[in-house]
Amino acid sequence: MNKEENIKNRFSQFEPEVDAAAIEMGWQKIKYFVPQKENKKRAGFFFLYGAAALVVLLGIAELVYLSRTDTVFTNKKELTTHTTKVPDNNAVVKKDNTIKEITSTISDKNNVNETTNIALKKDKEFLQKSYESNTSKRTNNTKKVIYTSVQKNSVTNNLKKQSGNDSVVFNKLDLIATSLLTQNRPSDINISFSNDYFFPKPVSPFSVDLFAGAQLSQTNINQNAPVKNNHTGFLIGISLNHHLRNKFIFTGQFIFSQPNLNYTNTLTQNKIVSQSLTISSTPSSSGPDTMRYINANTNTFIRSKNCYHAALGLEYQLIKKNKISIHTNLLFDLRVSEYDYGYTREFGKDILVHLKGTPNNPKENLAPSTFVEGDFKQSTNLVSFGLMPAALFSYAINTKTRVIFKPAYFIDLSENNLIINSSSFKLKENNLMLNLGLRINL
Amino acid sequence: MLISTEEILKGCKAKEQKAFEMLYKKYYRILLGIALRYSRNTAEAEDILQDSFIKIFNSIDSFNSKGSFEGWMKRIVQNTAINSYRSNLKFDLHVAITDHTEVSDDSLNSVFETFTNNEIISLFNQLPEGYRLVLNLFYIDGYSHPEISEMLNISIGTSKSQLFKAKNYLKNLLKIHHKQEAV
Repeated sequence: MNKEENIKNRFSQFEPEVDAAAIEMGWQKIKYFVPQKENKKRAGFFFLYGAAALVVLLGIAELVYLSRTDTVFTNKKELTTHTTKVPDNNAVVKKDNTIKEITSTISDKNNVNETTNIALKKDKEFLQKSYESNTSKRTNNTKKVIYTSVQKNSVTNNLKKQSGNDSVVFNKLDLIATSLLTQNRPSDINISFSNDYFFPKPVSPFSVDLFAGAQLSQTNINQNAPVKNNHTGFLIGISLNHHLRNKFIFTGQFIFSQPNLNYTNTLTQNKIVSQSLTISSTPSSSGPDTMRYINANTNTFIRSKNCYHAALGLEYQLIKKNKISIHTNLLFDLRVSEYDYGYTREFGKDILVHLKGTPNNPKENLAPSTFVEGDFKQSTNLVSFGLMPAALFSYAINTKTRVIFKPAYFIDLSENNLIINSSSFKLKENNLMLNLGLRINL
Repeated sequence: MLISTEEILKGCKAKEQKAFEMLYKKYYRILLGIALRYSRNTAEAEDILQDSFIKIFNSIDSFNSKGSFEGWMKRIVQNTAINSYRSNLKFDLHVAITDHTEVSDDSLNSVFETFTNNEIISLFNQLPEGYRLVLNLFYIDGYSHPEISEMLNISIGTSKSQLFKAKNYLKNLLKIHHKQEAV
């Protein structure tokens, strides 16, 4: 083995003497950067997906409930027969007959007490109004035929039930079922028809909101001094709503957002403030070179990538007037945020003072800035929870769709810790979310 | 209880905290030895080593077990040191020279044989950064000039000149060292 290989071998196996305490200290500094087990990392997502699944299951249950409700109140077999066999003109004739029949039936019922009479009059007025509005809009739509036949059927049944001293409420429920089929299911049918007259609601208490929104975030990072950052981003989301009683709406939301948070330059520390060294230059030089570096910084960055929310909440209707409705909303929000964090090193405007043999005539160079990205980078997920008070302003475009404007403010109740280079950072996020949405009635 | 590298590696891939700790403690010294050669002082070497371990931890899944695990880690330390050099690059002392006298490595080898490892590391630490890097890569780690030029993004001529200057510099340091001993 020649000398050169000997040297190589010596250095390849070279282990400097380091005591165990120093190694332990090094480990204590670095252990926070050890990748976490996948299941730990995904724990937050598990809860999130669970909450999302709960919302979906709730939706499916509502749909089942809705389909059963429809069957009870409309007698679908009969509808099918009429829609295929009865021509449109006959439907008009039938509707006239229906009204006449109701009128004559009411007039014939002398034994019905006063309360029932009032109710029947309301029924009649309602039917007439419905008939008039439908007649004016009449097209060759088979649903109009359905209206007539079901109406006749239901009113006949109502009258039969009334004569058997059934409750008025039940009769009115039947009418609503009719109304549901004839009116093309306007978006807010629950509110518009259930508030004043009818309870319980026989129509779908279920609606879906689709959101696309802008997000304005404010994040507080507390290390030695609080640092506040404002950022913008976007979000998309889906909300499943269950309408309760008169004015309450139970809401489940799933939102994906990209808050676009960047904290470059937020934490600047002078790592190498000043350093000088003297070296003896090449043999030809006349004297020693002195070099001095100044203004070298280390910048830490934190970047938020994606944010997933799952929220459950209760909405209360404040105003419902014509096409406009205003609600207040309070949501409990669980969110998982993905963060990249680490540091970059930036050397900006480093001045190299180069003294070469003649100190009275220093040659000054401005070294090019060097920016090195990704010296160290790691990703993590943070789980936070908070309250999200919101307002919901909606405007009905037509019977099926509504435009929704929903500003919401997320108040972070939790406090997350980030550890970078053994320094602990407390991360707290409060977000103002401005949503522009579209509500589509199922 | 001695645990083999394979078992530690397996544990690390399963993201077990204990396995990472064992890996760190097992290879700390040998990797520090490499980092020391590439740095000015122990503090800088420790910085390089910590950064290297983070890279090792995060990219351990990409190690395919075909080559030497130790070699793979050493390469990461080398690359981290090179990146550190690039990020600390304050000046350009590289002057390409195409015509220079080769210095015999035998004289250097003979000198090295009389020094302990710690003394040699101490001498290396005194070298300017660029010199130290090229000397390490060429002389200890066995890279060729074309490879070094690619790694450091410099010309082959620059790599050669840096090595030439490094050797001369080292010789001067040795002369000073001998004078001090004589005194």
